[in-house]
Parts: sequence; C-alpha cells; structure tokens
Amino acid sequence: MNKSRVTSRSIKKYGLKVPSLSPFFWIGSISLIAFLITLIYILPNNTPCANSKSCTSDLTEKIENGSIAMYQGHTLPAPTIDLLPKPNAYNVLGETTSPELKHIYVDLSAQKLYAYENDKNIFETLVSTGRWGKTPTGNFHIWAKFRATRMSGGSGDDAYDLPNVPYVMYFYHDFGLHGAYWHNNFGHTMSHGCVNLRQIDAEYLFNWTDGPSNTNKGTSVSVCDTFTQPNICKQDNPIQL
Amino acid sequence: MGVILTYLIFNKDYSSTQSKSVVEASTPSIESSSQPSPDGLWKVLMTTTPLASGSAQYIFSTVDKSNIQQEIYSHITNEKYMIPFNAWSPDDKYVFIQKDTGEAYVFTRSGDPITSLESFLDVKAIFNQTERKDIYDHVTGWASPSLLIINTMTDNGEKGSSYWFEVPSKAIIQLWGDF
Repeated sequence: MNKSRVTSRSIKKYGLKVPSLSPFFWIGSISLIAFLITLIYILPNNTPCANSKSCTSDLTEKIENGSIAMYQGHTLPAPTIDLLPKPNAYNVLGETTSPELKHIYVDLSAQKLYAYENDKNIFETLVSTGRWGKTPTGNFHIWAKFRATRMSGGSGDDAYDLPNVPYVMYFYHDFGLHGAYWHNNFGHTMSHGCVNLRQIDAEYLFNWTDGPSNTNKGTSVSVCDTFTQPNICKQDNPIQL
Repeated sequence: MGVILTYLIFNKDYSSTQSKSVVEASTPSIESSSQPSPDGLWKVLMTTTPLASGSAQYIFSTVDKSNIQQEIYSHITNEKYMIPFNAWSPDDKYVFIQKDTGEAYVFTRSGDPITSLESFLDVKAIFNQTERKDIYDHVTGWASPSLLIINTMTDNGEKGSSYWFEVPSKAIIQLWGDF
C-alpha cells in the first residue's frame, strides 16, 4: 500500500489538513535554527565591561613584577607583588566568620564602602567608583579573587594600562573591588566602573572576603545608589541576575 | 613650739596644693592623629599641643615602618589643621596637610625643600596668583603621583571647575568637569 495515500486518507478521515511540504523546506528551517543558535554563542556578549580591553581576554591572575603602568598620559612603576605570606599576618578585620554572614555594601552617592558581619559594621572606608563608566548597582557575589591582575582600557587621553592591580575581587563580570596604586583621591569617582580602594583597605577586605566554594557563593556585595546603615540599600535600576 | 608646728603644717598643705596646681598647668593635653600612606609603608603624624594663649602648636612628622620619625613642619596658630584621608601621593613621595578653612600645603616626605627656594608649596596662594574667575575651595586628593586636584567655587556660591595642580612645577590645568 502506498504510504502517502494511507496518510492522506487518515488525514481526511479526521478532518486534519496538513500541507505537503517540500523536503527543502525542512532542510532550510533546520539550517536557519542552527545558524541562529550559532550566532547566540559567537556574537559579542552584551554584558558591560569595566575595562574595555582587558575584559575581552581571560580574567585570570597575572603577576608582572617590574612592569610600567600607564594612566591618563602618565607612566609609573607598578607595585611589586610578593606572593609569600606576610610574617605574623593576621585577619585585621577580626575573627573568621561564616561566609554567609559577610556582606559588603558600596554607597555610590557617598563613595563609601561598609563591611558587615551579620548586622555588625566591622569596617568602613572611602572608595572611588565609576566616573568614566558607571559602577553597576545590584546584589552580587564575589565570583573570583586574584592577588593581582592587569586592567586596561579607555582610549586617547583616557587610555590606561595597569599591570599588577592588587587584591582583586570580581563581583560582576570584570567589575570588582581592588586596590588602586595610581591615584589617591578616594571619596570621589575616579574609575571606569570598578570600586577602587586604598591598597591597605583592599588587602584587609581580600583577606576577609570569600570566593565561591562548593557550598557557598562568594561574599555578598551590594552596590547601592545610596546606603543607610545597617542594611537599607537603595538601587534605582539594579542589574537583575 | 606649737606655733612653729602649726605654721609648718599649714605651709606644707599650701605647698602641696600649689605644686599640684603647677603640675596641672604645665601638662596640657597633647592630641595626635595620623594617616597611613595607601600602601601602608608610611604614616603622617600630627601632634597638637594647646597653648595658654588659646592657640596651639602643630607638629607634623612622617613615620616609617620602623617608627622612625622625621619632622617636616611645625606651626603655632589659632587656626585648625587636619590630615586629610588622601594626604599621601600614590608613590609616597609627597604629603599634603590642610587647614579646616581649605588651605593646603604640600611637603616632601623627607622634609627636604620641595623646590630650590621653598620648603613647601602653599596651594591656595599659588592658585590665587593665576587670577582665575573660580575661587579656590579645597584640595580633594591626588589624581596621580604628581597631580593634586583642586575644587573651586564660583562667585555666586556654586561649584566651579576642578583643576590639576602639578607638584613641584606648580602648573595649574583646568579640568573638564569637577570632582
């Protein structure tokens, strides 16, 4: 029996109408779907960058001792990163606490950072957030910690290339908390989106925060348009993760 | 004998009280405050000694990790000084102090003269010599190892432009925007 005839009779019996489709239609449809799926993976990611050049490369630890930094047309030596543990080092920010009880708040309007253990403010300091590129507001977790890395971006007079940026704690793509050795104007916006800290403050936080583990996400970081202690974080257009 | 003893007792009491008063008057409360350099290798220390005249003596020193102090500046005044959060240049080479009225003074870490003719730079005085429309307000911090940022006001009280002040050349560069 002819299969197509049986199919046609069955369709007529049950009132169904199926157009006869050419095999080329199916080949074309499948090809189009495959093409679209491929585009999704190769098209540039829409996630914003803090550092327009270094964010397109792998975000990994990079120690480049002896290198020269460039910032706003000025050059300066990058700090030497010593990976050896400091003698008599101790956790300046106090006793070790369960990771889920730690929380960092960044107040963009006041240019301040607060570190909390549960509801206790254990540390606060001045920071410099995004001036040429806004620091995104939202509720994040530290997804990676690097003792140092290279950050580069900008163009023209704003171009910068900063090796050995110390105590890096990424919380959203390449937006992170880190030490800044090229300026000392904390309390005022200075960065391209990251949260700059004095090197000593970044070191304190780096030794206190947690990266992700098998059982916990990394330390919570909330970036707020305004922050009122102990935990009122106002965010107008936060990133939704 | 009784008269002599009585005299000695009262005289002793008076002497003790007088000594106690003298001790209190010669021990003013000395206050100190400090600010570390961003890398933690140095700190700038300010000691404030109140004086009987109502003014105070301010002594500024830089201190290294071994706690060796180097005095860089001393001044007796009835104005108030402070050490700002951003006192240190990023390379620890310079430090600036500020009065609560906004005047800022830049020193070398070692206390050596900052130029061949000057032991320190008076930022406000140098800015005012350029006769700009904007009125000097205060210094916010260091944009780079040699550039201070000056904030200004307009003559109608609004925020003015910001400027770079280059150390030690004293060049002043107007910035686009303000801090």
